[in-house]
Amino acid sequence: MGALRRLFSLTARLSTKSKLKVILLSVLVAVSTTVFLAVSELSRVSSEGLDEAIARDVGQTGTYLIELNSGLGLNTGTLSRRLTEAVAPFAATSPIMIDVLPAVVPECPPFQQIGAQPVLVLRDAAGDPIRLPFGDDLPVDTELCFAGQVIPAEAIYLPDEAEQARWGSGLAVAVRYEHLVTLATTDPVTYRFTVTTGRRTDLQDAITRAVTSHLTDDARRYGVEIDDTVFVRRVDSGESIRDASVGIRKVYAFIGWGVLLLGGLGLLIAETIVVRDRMWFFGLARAVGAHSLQIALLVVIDVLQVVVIGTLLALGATVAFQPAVDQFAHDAFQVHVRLIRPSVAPALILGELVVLLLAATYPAMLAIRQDPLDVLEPRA
Amino acid sequence: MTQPIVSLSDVRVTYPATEGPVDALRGIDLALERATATAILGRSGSGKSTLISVLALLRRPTGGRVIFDGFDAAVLPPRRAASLRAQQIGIVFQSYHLDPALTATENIMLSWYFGANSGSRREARARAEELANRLDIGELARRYPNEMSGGQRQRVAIARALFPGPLLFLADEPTGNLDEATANEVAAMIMSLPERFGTTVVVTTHDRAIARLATTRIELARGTLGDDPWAP
Repeated sequence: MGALRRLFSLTARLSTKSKLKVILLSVLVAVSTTVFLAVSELSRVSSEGLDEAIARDVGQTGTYLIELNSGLGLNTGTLSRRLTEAVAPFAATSPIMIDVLPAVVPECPPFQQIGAQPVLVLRDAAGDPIRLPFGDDLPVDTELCFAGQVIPAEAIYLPDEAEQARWGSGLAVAVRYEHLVTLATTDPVTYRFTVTTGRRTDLQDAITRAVTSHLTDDARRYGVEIDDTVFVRRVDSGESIRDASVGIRKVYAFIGWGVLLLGGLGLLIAETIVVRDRMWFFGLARAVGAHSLQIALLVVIDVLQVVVIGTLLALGATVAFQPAVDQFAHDAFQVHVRLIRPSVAPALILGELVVLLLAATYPAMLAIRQDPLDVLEPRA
Repeated sequence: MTQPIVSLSDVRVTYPATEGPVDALRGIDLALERATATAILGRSGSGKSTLISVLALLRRPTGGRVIFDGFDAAVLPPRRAASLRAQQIGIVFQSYHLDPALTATENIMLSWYFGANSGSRREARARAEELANRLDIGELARRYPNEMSGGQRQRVAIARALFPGPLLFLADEPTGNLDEATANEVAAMIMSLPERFGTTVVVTTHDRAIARLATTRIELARGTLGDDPWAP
């Protein structure tokens, strides 16, 4: 560490005579970093709304519905655990277990008018109830009546179209009222299980194989054929619109990274000129005992200081202009923008590392290759 | 008899060239004792700089053997050679090579930045200032090279070479860019180093007046060492 600190301090001292170079190159990095941050946010704003709309209308990418017409004699918790284990290699998000209570006709308004309705009870993979916005969008006097018992509005949720696509049709009720519905019918409960892979590849066969292999023993014990019990189908759609969304993100990524790399290229050219100008110094350094790694580090640190200063300038500028930019975006496009988000940090760090590597590697190699004898015996 | 700091046996250096290989050094035998001053006289192209580069462990000879402080230079890894250069060898060039961004003190302690001395920055600075005082350039400590005369710059370069406390001090035409009076002063300073610092000094020059100040003089012509031109 001490040796590195000495090199940092030497680079800092050598830079004092070339403040203008440091300032100009830092501004170059700052500009490219700011554009990178702005384009990243622009990409997020434009694709996020689109992705939400796509997920709402045609489901999340790689969503599969596993339907079981029998619980195979297992309680809900065990069945959920078995299915969760089966889909674990594919699941990008926590799966949802749905008890589908048999279709029964509600006995009181307003739902008695719509006829037989399956009733859904949703649980997460651990068997805990899923929190749904029960009662939202329903009049307070809404009720669902079964077998002379009443389920109030705050325990009822009407799934929207996208949710119905994922969960199957039906009304969702809170877990604590599940027993009321079962009292109203003697038909068996069936089950649905949704899993989202996030992958565009069709995994229907793979998921089917995984689920059937996990439940085969239970089906045998229960005396049913697994192939007649488990059905898997893909419930998301809209490939072309998803392609369009991915395309938009790619274009933004190309612009953002392109600008950052152009900044890196500018830095590379400038640093190459600086190193060529200082070749005698690297030769001298070798002659007074510096080894190759130290010479390379001198160049890398020189670039690093510009990248760090430039990045800090960019972050400072975006923080300073954030309110104005957000106001403008809201007034002009009715969207809120936040130029610096924790989610952009990995891309920003990676980007600056790429800039550092791009700008420092060749000049460092050039400096290492400097023969100290050229200092001792200047060649014509 | 004490063991020499550096000894060369049948050292040969051959450069490739378009007209065919050029022999820069042809079978050099040389042993440098501790705290002595040796002047190597020779015309341009005689092989003086090549000899200095071999002594500085900057160049591996094409043939022969170089033993530096007990180490065989032929089998020294580059990193070890660099380490020896940083700690045991001081070099002064004809054209000072001081960094314009560094003050005299910082130029003197340049090898500290590369790990020549293990002390703190404050200790390195103190040592650089002490060296500057001993070489009568203490008042230049905070000046930059462009604020110094040629003689002052070369004194700073000498202090830089002495900074690690080297066993061997090499100077390649150190007075080549100086006027006669300043050249004599700088040469006298260099030749006094064995007595003042216990360092072994090797100076290449084509100036016989300067060579006369050394305890040992060797003539180098066409890559071959001759006898002391002033030997009785």
